Order: sequence, then structure tokens, then C-alpha cells
Amino acid sequence: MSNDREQSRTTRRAGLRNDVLGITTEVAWTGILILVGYFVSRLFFLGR
Amino acid sequence: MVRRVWKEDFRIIGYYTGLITIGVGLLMLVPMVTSLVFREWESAVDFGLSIVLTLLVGYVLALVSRTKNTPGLTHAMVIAAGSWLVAMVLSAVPYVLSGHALSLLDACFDTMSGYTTTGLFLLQDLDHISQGLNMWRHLLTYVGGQGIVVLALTFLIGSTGGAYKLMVGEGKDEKLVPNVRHIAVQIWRISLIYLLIGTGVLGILAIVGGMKPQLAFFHGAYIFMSAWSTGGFAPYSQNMQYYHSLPMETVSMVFMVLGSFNFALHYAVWTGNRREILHNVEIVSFTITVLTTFSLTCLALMQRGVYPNAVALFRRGFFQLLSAHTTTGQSNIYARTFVRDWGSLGMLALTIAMAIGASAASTGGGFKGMRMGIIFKGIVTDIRKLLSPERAIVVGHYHHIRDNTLTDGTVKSAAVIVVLYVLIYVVGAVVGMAYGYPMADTFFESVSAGSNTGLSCGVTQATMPTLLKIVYIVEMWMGRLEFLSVFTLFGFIAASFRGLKRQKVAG
Repeated sequence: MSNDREQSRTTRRAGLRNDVLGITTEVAWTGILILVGYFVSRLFFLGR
Repeated sequence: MVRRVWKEDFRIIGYYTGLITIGVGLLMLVPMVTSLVFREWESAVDFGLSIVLTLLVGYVLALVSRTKNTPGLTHAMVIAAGSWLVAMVLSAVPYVLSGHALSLLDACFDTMSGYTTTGLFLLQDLDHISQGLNMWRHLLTYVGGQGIVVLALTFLIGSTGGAYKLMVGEGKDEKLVPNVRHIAVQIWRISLIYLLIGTGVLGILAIVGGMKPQLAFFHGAYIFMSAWSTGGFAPYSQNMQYYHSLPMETVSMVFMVLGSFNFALHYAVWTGNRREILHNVEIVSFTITVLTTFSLTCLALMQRGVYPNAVALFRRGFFQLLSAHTTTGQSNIYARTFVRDWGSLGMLALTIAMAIGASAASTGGGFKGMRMGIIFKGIVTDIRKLLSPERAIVVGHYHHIRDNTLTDGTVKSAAVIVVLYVLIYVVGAVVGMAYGYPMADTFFESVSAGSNTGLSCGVTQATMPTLLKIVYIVEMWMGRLEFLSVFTLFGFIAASFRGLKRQKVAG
């Protein structure tokens, strides 16, 4: 019984960790895209 | 040959449409509670009446056509297309009762725009509508992004035999997990977790910007729902300009992009396959087309000297471009600025971005990155075949969750849907031109409606011709459901009439 409870807690923790890492990966990727957008804008003002 | 339509077909379609309608009625409880929180008694009564009417229609429909049979693919397609029309009309009742819609057609335009996550609106005096109605507008977008059928599957229908077909009918044809109800639950889990994060972050930024805490979190929720569902609505007519906040615009950009991702990609990344974000054909395609169309936008804006520095160019140009490409439609410039300042090339860049759109099985619209990737890979494979020795077998591949072999059938299906999108874009533009609107404006607006984006260059107004309103409603509906379920509905109606005629002749 306590083994089951322990196992379900471990699974839940692993799930939560995956969620957090998943969100971090997605937000980081989007952040990089936005940064690239900013650098492209700067590129068009080079030499002005 | 089209199969005959039987009474049982009507029962199955009626029963499931009834259940989905009940779901819409229950959803109206959220804006009613919002109205009560803000002590907007008239608005609360409007929603109370609308709930009674919607639940009544839903219960009667489900009761009259009660059946234990599960829907087949044809039923599922008809239910998906038909229930969106029923939901459009019944969801328009609170708009009409509020007095902010000039007619039922205008109200239906707004609700279809909401459900399809388009964002065009005809509502009058938007700046003074009740918080309840504001919540309803944004909730329509949020639910429409995930799908009305997905909502019904999660809470009302469960895992019946034809459940997955219902989801396919609504354009959510990704099997994340074997159990259909679990797919719906996963889609909602991802959306609700982001809702909490988005509302929190945007709410805090609104407080920092000087808004009262209670109102700030409501606005945070509205802007999140609008961005994540690639909807484009905002509580005020000035849209994102109202907040004068670069941090809010940046956070909104993040959620627009996240909302434009395929739910299968979210699921893969969230379950440990994090490298998928670097290899997925839709993400590769999206990155290339975003950077290409943004370069074109910059070129247009630099030619005309619209913005004085890189920060201004990024803040307006990149925001608008991402808003167009993710088919969100949020705006931080005035509608006529596109025509007055951005010029033909700038508008063309945005029109191309809107036409391409977001990912398949996402909250967004347009051709979809998947189809662009498949068609591009198909062209490359054909060129490789031509350059290879005659005996060589050249096989193309594309990566979406796993490596997939590119077949002629896959390329053909993708090309057919793209052609259908182009067709509705052109039809909408031609109708606009027939009423005397300039070509660039009417193409921009038609693509915006058909790709479910919602950016406007000023054509969409309550005073525009009735036929144009109807054409845009049909464009939004077809574009969101990706044609097949709508064509099946038309075919089903035609087959029903033919059946009736045959019965009369026999009688």
C-alpha cells in the first residue's frame, strides 16, 4: 500500500518536472525567436 | 455515389449537436458569474436568459433524437460543422440583448469570429461593454481555439465509439494518446496551465502599469486568452495600444507563438521529447517564413521611413508580423496605419504571413506550416528524382513527432487544402472589390478572415455590405474547420433533399 503511494508520488513528481522543463523549453525557444526578430530590426538600421 | 440518408442519421447528428449545445449553455455560466462579481445586474439577466434558451434548445434536441448509436465519419463531420453554426447563433443572444450589436447578423459575425479565433468585430461602443460580455467574447475565443467538440468530449460526451472522428471533423486530427477522452484532457491541461501562467504574468504587468488589481487580472486573462488562442480580441477598441506597455506586448508575443504550436508538439515537448522543437517540420517552416516575411516587412517600412529606430521597428513591425503569422490579430497600431503608412509591400508581407498561418492541430488558422513544409519537401523530392539516375528510388521524408515518409498522396492532400484556402481568399477579395473596395485592402481583409487572423485595414465595419459580412462569416467558418466537414455538411443536406424528393415521387 505504502509502496503504491510512494510510486504514485514519484510518478507525479516526474510528471511535474517534465511539465516545467517542457514549458521552459517552449518559452526559451520563443524568446530566441523574438530576439532574432529584434536583431533583424537592428540589421536594417546598420550604418544609419 | 453518395449514400442514402436515413432517419437514424438525423438522430445521431441531432443527439450529439444537442449535447454540444448544452455545453455552450453551461459555458455561459462563466460570464454570468463575472457580471455578478462586477455587479452588472442587467448583463447578468441577459446571460441568465441566454442560458435558459440555449439549455432548452440543447435538451430538446438531445431528447427528441436520443440514440445509443455512435457517430460514423460522415456524422462526425456534419456534427462538427453544424454544431459550430448552432453555437454561433445561440452564443449571439447575449450580444443582441446587450444592445451593442446592431443586428443579429452583426452579433453572429462576432461570435463566429470568436469561435474561429479570428478577432474581427462589428460590436458597437466596445469600450463600454460589460465585463460579463467581455469575458464571453474572450471565452468564445479560448474555447474555440481548443475546439467546441474537444470541450464537449472532455466534459459531456466521453469516449464513445465515434469520438475521435468528431475531433477529426473539427480539425484536431492528432492522436496524442490512444484514448480520445485523454487527448481532449491533455489539450485542456496544457491550455489551462498556460492560462494560469499567462493570467498571472500579464495581470502583474497590468498592475505595474497602473491598473487596479481585480481588473488587472481580468485583463491579464483576456489578453492571454486572445494571444494563446490566436484570437486577437481585446477589451478595448484600441486593442494592445490601450496598455502602452512593451513588456505586455512582448509577453503577448510569446503566448501568440506558443498558441500557434501543434498540440502534438506541446505534448511531445512536455513528455520529455524536448529536441522535437528543433526538428519538427512545422517549427522549421514557421521560423523560415517568419524571418522571410519579417525581412520583407522591414524592407517596406525602411523604404517609407515609417519608424525612426530599430526598437520602434521591432515593437510595431515584429509584433504585427508575429500577430499576422500566428493568425492572432492583436494590434498595436491603428487599422488605417496599414494603408496609410505601411504601403502595398508592407501589406503584402502581412497578407502572405496571414495566408501561411500557424501549425496544424493548433489554435491558429491559414494554410498551416505542416502543409508548407510537406509541399516544399515534395518539390525538393521531385527535383532530386529528376537529377538522379532513372533507376534510383528517391524517397522524401519529413519530421513531425517521428520521421514520416513523404508519399504522393500526402503532398496531394496538402496541395488540395492550400488551393481551397486560396480559393476562399480570392472569393472574399472579389466580393469586396465588387463593392468598390481597393484591391490591396480587400485582399488583406479577406485573407485575414479566411485564415482566422483578424487584423483589419478598415474594411470590417458595421456599415459594410450585408453580403460581405456573410462571405466573411463563411470564410471564417470554412477556414477554421478546414473545408472537409463543411463540404460534408453541404453534401448531407443535398442528399437529404434528394431523399425527400424520391419519397414524394414514390408516394
